[in-house]
Amino acid sequence: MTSIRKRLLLWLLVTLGVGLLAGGGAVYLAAGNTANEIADLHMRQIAGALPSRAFSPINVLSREDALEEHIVVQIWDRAGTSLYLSDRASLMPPRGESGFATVRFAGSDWRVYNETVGENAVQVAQPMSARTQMAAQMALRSVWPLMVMTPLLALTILLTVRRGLEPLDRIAHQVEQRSAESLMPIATDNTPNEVKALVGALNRLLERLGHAFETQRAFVADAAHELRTPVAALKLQTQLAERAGNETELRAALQTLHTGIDRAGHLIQQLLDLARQEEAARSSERVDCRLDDLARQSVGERASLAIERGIDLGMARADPALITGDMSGLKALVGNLIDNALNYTPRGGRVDVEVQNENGAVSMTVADSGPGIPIEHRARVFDRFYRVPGTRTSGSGLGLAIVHSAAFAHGAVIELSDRAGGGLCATVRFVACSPAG
Amino acid sequence: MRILLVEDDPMIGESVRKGLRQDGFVVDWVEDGEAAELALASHEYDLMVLDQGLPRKGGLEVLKSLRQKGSMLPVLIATARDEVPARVKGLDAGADDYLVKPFDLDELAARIRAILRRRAGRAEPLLRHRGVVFNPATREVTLGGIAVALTARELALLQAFMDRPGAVLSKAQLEEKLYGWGGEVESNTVEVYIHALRKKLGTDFIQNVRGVGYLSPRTV
Repeated sequence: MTSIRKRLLLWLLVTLGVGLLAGGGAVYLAAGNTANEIADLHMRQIAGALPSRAFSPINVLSREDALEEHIVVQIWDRAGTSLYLSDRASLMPPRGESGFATVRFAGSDWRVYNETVGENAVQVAQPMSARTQMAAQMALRSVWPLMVMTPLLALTILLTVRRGLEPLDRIAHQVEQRSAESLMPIATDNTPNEVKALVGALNRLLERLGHAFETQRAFVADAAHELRTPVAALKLQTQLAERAGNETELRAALQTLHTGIDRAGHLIQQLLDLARQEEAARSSERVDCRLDDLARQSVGERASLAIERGIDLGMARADPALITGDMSGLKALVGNLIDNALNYTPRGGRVDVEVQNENGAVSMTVADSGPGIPIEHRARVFDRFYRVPGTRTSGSGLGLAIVHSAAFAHGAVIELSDRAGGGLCATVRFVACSPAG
Repeated sequence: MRILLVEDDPMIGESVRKGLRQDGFVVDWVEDGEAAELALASHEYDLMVLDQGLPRKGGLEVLKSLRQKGSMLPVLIATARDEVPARVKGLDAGADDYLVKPFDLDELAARIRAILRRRAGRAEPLLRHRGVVFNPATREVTLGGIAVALTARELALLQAFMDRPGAVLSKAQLEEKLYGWGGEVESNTVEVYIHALRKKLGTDFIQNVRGVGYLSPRTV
């Protein structure tokens, strides 16, 4: 059962019912004891009040008015001759020992009291059923006010539970009324403490969601702005192609148009990679992976491009290094670092990739002989779309952002430093990526 | 017409430079704000096409300091920022017009011509002077209704005279108009093209003011 109201009502009413039964039972037992004591006393008094001298037998044929509470009295003389029997219609237990006893006679239990009063022996007897009946009546008399109260209590419980849960309904209604965009916190005034905790947690979630939305909105705005530039270039290049007067001009115009399309395509690819990185940072399965193999593979994929650009690209060191991570994220990290180095290294330059494993401390370094990054810009180069002012290379401004995002997802740390002899040295330390750890 | 193009994106810069050149403008292209200020200090331009997001010195900063110096140079901002506040900011900083990327080359050229026309105090798109009609949009010239074929350099000089009829233009000013059309501008280059123009449009269309420069007289 998932309704708090139903559950509360059920348990409160069940408890109430059980309590009532237990109470009734206890009263019944107590009343039984009391009834026994009173009736015993009563029987002794009757016995004491009976005549003490011998008298001639009285023959009571039948009595309509049986003694109260079915008490039956018998009197014998010393010789054992029955002198008196209050109710001849009922069979009576025979004379017994002096004092109280409970005997079974003719199918029912009797309470009997025997005493010798002067010349006579007397017996006062009462069927137990009469006593039980009396106890039940007493118990009923004590319990009936409770029985009357029960529906009243049930009604009160019903109303209180409904009232108590009202704030929940109100908040549910308030949340229901919201549009998908509204992330305003839910009002907590007039809210009971128990519900306040829930609303507080909800409001904190809304706040986090708001931040996430804001980041997303900013990213989309930035992305749209950044896409505008290559699209503007494409439009201009197309127009120039249209204006071309002869085949040579047309060919040249189409060539630049191709470059422009490649560039726009690259930007879109980078945007997708970044979006995937940020998604993967939250949900991705980790696998064991050899970083040195990955680096070797990434270098291999870019070898022909490097040769075309006249850049000496290679692995300077490749210690076997096993790390745990998300495969596509690590690939993006390594690939974009190398791409970035290749993009900023002039013809005749050099890009060295190293994978180090110093007793389990795994790191990767990409060093280039490009212009490097001035210290004042190093903190910002990982921002999306940030380009160091005055750079000629028309990159997407996303490569290092992707690297940063992937490194962050792997708990890795990136350090930028100057390379001896000029250029940039980017080191990624995989501090939290040891396998099976 | 000599235009300073300030654009940091190499592809856009190259395309705009090519396109405007085809439309008969001489284009100097620089890639950042500081280079733009250097160019503005050393040459005389008829108009500046300015990108807003520039490295080193932002487009708006360049524009503001230009206006603070009292320059009346017409400025067209071409930028990827299309929000209204950005446009208002650009125009209030002293821009004459605002064009959002991606834009059309023809529209860019038409807006440049419109700004230049307004600056010259004309409403009529065609330039008319002494029986010569010059259409800046099509670069066509007629004399008494008959088409006259002119080279790019000749057109550049003719437009200078027709923009400011009756004003005396120094040889240095005229040389500025000839830069950017290829070939060296030698000491006698201006004279060579003046001579050619006189031959095609009539000897008295351009007259010499000794020791000062040349002018196209206001009345016949």
